[in-house]
Amino acid sequence: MEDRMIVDLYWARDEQAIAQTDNRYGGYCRTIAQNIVGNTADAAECVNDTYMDAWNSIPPHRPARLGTFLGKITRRIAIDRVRRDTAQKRGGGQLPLVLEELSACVPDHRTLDEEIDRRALQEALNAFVTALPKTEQRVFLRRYWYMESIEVIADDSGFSQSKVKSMLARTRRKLRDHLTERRFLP
Amino acid sequence: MTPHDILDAIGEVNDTCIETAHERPALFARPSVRRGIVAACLGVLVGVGATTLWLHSTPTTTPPAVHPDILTPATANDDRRYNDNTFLSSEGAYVWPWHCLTVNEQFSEITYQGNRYHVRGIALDSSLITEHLGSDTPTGYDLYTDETHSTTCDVFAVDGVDSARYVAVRYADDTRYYPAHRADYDPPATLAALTTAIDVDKHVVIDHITDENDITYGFDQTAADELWAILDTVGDVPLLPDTTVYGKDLLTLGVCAPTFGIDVPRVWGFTEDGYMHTNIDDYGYVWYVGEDIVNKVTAFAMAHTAPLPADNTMTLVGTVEAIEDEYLLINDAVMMHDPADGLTFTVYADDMHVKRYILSGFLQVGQTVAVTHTGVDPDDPQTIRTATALSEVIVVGNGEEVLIPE
Repeated sequence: MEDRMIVDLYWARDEQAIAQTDNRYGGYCRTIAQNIVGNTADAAECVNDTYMDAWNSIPPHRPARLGTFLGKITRRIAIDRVRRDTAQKRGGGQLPLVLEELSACVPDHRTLDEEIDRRALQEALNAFVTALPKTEQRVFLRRYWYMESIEVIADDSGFSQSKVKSMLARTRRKLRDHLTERRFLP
Repeated sequence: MTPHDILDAIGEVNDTCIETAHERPALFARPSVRRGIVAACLGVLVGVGATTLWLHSTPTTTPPAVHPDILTPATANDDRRYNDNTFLSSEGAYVWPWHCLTVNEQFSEITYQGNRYHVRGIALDSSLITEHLGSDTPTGYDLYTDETHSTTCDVFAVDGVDSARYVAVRYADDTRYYPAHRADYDPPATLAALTTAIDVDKHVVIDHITDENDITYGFDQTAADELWAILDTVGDVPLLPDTTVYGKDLLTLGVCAPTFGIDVPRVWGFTEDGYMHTNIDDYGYVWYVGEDIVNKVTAFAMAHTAPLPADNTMTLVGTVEAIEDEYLLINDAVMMHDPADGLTFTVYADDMHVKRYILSGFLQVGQTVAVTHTGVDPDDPQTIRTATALSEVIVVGNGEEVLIPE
């Protein structure tokens, strides 16, 4: 079933919307959740929460791209879950490693004065990612959006793991420069 | 700021980037194709309805990532009986030999007046070229041999476009002109500095508009000049150096700029609290134009909606029957409810994105592939001369029939 038809089901408050969403995007959402939380049971709960969130937000939303709309919800829910679990000393998928890598380009501290403008940061990140060469962009997003392991990215792309790591390190350095130019970083 | 802030911000990057993250362009290696397909076969296959889908495989024990793309029939007025099929695409995961790269892939960055420019692959119309600005000797890297290559190129100005932002590049031994955009951050001081630098009237196309309820419409192209003219009245508003918080979009324009090689729409948004933002120039820019202007632009745009533009790309899915120097023979029986209905198409490999499958020897007879093209001559519907891309696929059918694939 096409996205448009599935969204129409949501607007009609037809519960078939959930089944059709699962048919079409269940695998996609489970992959994202699994990468982040690191286990199947938690991933399944994240996906169920995603459907609930979609049910509650369509309407009023009418997403033009249902896949990424759902993917973003899943990613957010899964990250929140790991943050919560991490506070309780439970591990979770790739997220701790990803955060450690990102800390190399962002100092991990915050004062009230440094509370960042989230919308501006999103714009800056969007501009940065959009301007990356395609290969770097894909590797960067597979690591930091989909949170796939280095091994998976390397295996799937045909690059060596060291090449993926060096590509990511180079991109993180560029990101740091990009954020510094825009005064997000000192 | 913390890494969590970055992580959250990355979560909101534009949808197209997210969707294409699993595409595998030329730089990706062949061995993974096999593993990818096998893993996809073993992975979780979601059921699909009458719409045919691409499932981008991920060679792991986790389910494959899914990216839908509706296939369209290979020929117009096709009344054959198709099966309701699902396709797994490996997206041509190859490291291409140097001689299989397009020239702009080989030499993707040039330098002009000390600034770096990225070259895009969609050649622009030579009528847009004005003066010769200079030349450069770009270098490229061969992943197969670890050799560095160099060539020469000429740099040209594009009609009405600020060469500090965009230029055109013509490589040695090539007659085409490729758009190249400034790689470094160089924000325009005002709104007018951007709109005049890229000559929005001439070069920016409003592909579609989206209202505050996320409903998307086409846009009446004859009204574009008038819409841009509304912005002329606030041309002197300064770019906001520190992008400030702004509210929900009342209107979003999906804008393309074929002259600059931008064929996937970028965003030009107008917010309920009077801000305007765009990433047409790759970086995100924001201006405060006032609620009156936002309301005026929104009202004007919504009064000039039109049917959404049709997607003019089509896809042929079939089995390679023969590989010749200049073309492929592909039979689409795999798509048919009755395989006897399959037709053999001659697909000319004029575009390097197709030709390199022949040149490299990577493609074999018997493989199932998808060919993207932009149409056929109605008088010769089994000859495809407009192929722009090729990828390997496997087809999974549920045995049910559909008369016309969506």
